[in-house]
Amino acid sequence: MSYAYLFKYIIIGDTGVGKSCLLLQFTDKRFQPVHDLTIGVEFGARMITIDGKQIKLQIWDTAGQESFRSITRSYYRGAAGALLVYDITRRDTFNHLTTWLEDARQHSNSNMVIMLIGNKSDLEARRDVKKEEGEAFAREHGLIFMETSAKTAANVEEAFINTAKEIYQKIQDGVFDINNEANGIKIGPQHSPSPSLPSSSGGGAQGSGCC
Amino acid sequence: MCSQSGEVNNECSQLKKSNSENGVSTSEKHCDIGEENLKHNGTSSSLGALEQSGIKRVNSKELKAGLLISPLSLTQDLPISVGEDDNRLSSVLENIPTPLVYLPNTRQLVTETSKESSDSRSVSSCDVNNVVSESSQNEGSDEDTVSICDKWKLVNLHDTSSIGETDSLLRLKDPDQLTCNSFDLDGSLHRVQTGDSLLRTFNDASSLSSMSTCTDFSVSAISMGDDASDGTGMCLDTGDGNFIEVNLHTRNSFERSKNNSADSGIEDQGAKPKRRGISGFLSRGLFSRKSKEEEEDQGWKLFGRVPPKQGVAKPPQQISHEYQQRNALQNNNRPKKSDIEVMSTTALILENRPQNLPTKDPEEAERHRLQYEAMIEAAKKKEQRDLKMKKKHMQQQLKQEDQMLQLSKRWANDILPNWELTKRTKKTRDMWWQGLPTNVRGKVWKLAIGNDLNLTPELYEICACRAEDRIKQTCDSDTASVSDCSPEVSTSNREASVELIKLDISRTFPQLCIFQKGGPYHDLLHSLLGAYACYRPDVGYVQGMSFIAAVLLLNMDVADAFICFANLLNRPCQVAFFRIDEAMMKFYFQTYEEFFKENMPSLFRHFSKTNVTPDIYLIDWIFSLYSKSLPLDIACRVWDIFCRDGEEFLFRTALGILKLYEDILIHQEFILLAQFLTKLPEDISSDSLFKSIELINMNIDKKKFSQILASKKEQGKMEMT
Repeated sequence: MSYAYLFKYIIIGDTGVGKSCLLLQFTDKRFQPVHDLTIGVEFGARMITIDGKQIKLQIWDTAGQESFRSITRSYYRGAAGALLVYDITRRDTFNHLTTWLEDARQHSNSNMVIMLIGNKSDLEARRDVKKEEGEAFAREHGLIFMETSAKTAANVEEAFINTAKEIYQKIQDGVFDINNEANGIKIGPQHSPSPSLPSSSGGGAQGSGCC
Repeated sequence: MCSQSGEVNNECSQLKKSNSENGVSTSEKHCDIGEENLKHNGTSSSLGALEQSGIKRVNSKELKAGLLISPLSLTQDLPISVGEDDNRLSSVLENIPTPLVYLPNTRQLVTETSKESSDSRSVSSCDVNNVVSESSQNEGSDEDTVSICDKWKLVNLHDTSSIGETDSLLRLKDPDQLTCNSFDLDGSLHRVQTGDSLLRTFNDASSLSSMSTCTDFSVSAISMGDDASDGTGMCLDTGDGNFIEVNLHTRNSFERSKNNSADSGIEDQGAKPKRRGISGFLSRGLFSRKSKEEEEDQGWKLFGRVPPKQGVAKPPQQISHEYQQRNALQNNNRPKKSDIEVMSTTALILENRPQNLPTKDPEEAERHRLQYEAMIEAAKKKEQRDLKMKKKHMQQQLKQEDQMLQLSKRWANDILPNWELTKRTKKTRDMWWQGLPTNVRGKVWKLAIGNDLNLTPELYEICACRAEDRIKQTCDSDTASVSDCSPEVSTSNREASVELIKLDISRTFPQLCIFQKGGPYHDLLHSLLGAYACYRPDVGYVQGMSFIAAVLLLNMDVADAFICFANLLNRPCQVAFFRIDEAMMKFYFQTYEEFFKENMPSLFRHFSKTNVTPDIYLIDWIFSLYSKSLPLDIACRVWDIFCRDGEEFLFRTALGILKLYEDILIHQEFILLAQFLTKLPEDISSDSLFKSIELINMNIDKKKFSQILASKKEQGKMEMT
């Protein structure tokens, strides 16, 4: 299937926070209460449409255990977006966000869009991390924030799509060099790299063409 | 669940409140559980109606007035004293010495005097014949006290059997009279005793009302237990002492009503002739009427036996007759199949057209007859073919089983007793390649893995005990930290390991459902992994280990599994991977790629071009020794040869998998390759995989895997310095 852009995503966060379940909900629209644990990396892909453009998301779902960090570090390379996930019912997964963020910033390109996700929002009764705390952390570190539930699918689409919108906006703004694949963006097979993209969403978009 | 129990509590408190509002001592009181939904209007579905419940003072006249069906004599009011100390409804109910009766029309829960019921089938001690009676599983069960707060069981039943016999009920508009409702706040398995009546229950908290307008009976059970959204197994006790298990799923009342009519007709009428009660009455009443209608109607008949036609004899009917007669002869020989053939819808073609259509002309009828016969012939042929296939399959299976039996005998009698002598012989190795019989598998693995570490079962016990203590400690500190809400996090890697084991055990072979909490292997797996983390704190627990331990546990007892596990993880390849020794892992990957290039050069080029590096798929395969990626039986066969050939077989298997799917893989782009390899097809065949593994050559220029690995290591060291 043809696409205008391909974005590489990486999902990171502690083990058991629901990374694979988020991916499964996004790609297959289903929830598996007991998911296999992920060893190394698993993959998902889905086509979305932003601004009338077909965008293919190539998602790398990584193992969360500390021991695997050294392996998964190499997968940051060439990612345009990262979903940093914690579990709202387990405070330690929230406390580890800083180290995850350091890792991500250090091993990815500086323009990578990072979405902070507080998952398992359906388990309100067992909540251990307030929504405001997540928001504060995101504000402090310049991330987008959302609470999701892979179980009920609440905000799952939005999390993936909003990240894509942000990346798309960065392309429109000329922040991303789309010809450099290390940025995690690939131009679709039939799509020419000279974008005379009529940006319908608010101004400020600068095409790479001359003026 | 939480919200549901919340509602329940809510209700309890409401009941309590209204109770106390009504005064401290409430005599002559009927408990009334107002329940709009029990009215079976088929639409209301929320539990919210429960909130309307309260305790009302009702007199028996009102009660009588509320009942639409007459033959009811009413209950005697019973004084219940509600003291200040125990004005909880549960205690009120416990103080009620006699069974409670629920009257759906008035939505009241009333007490009964315990006169012996004249109807022996109706549940005990109702003097209201055939109306309602409280669950009253009093005989032999100690869950019978109606206590609202913990185990709240309210079952109200209409003994419909005797009413049913009058047949009049069918005409009654109020379906309540034919309804048995049971709710069970406690959960899933319901046992409802209904005298004779047939119980249809379904377990759906969201739809209290199952009643249809078009069907004539129903029994609904409302469960507000844990998983109310799922249908749960219910045990229904019919008066005859037969237990029927009925599994029903949540569905809307419309579907339900459709099914009701179908169920009652086919299942209950046909399959269980012994039962009386509703089913019996239905067969007498409802269905007799229906069948009359059918007889009058000369329309199409889709299902069931083609009845001999009355009226004017027409050619197609004769044909049908002839056919049936001829079949009857054949069917005498094969009585079982007759039903299938006659029941089929193909005979429709032989039917008369409905009255509003022109009748068939003889030519057409003849053509239809021929078509019909051709169809029957084809179906018969297919049936025979299927039968043959089945037989063949059976024979194959038997043969295989025989072979396995032979093999296991040879393993047990010839090879295992003389392991040191026989293990290297060609005969043994060949037999080994065929896959080990399951009953000797554990023994062979144990012998082949060996015990270089000289571990003993005693050591396992010690480590397991220590691990248990530590688990307890972390649990305690866990709860402490939760209650204190202290932000302190256990920084100790060890503790994190212990925590992680807990989390991962339930994620180990979840589809087998034996390692999950409550499963038979949960504790064993937990203590094995905990013991290893104790034994090797430097390694701790690494994800993937749980799969290896689980496979071992499936094949041997826990102490042996621990010994094998520790020795297995002490092998160089496993040490490199489980300690995430990146340099060593790189050497393994490089060596693997050498063999990849040697065996499948074009696929290797394709992989390089698309940036599919070995780590993407090999990490999972090596860490779990394929037990997570391949079906368990195939994984065990891989383990068999891994025990025989050592680590190189792990990489050979990887190449075998690539070889097996080479034709597909060579055309795929990165994401499809990555997805395919990290989630292999589930229908992979053991034999074809092992055939393609056999094709993999593990020699490059007469150099073996180990030699190439050694040279890679050498190279690496040189580069370092």
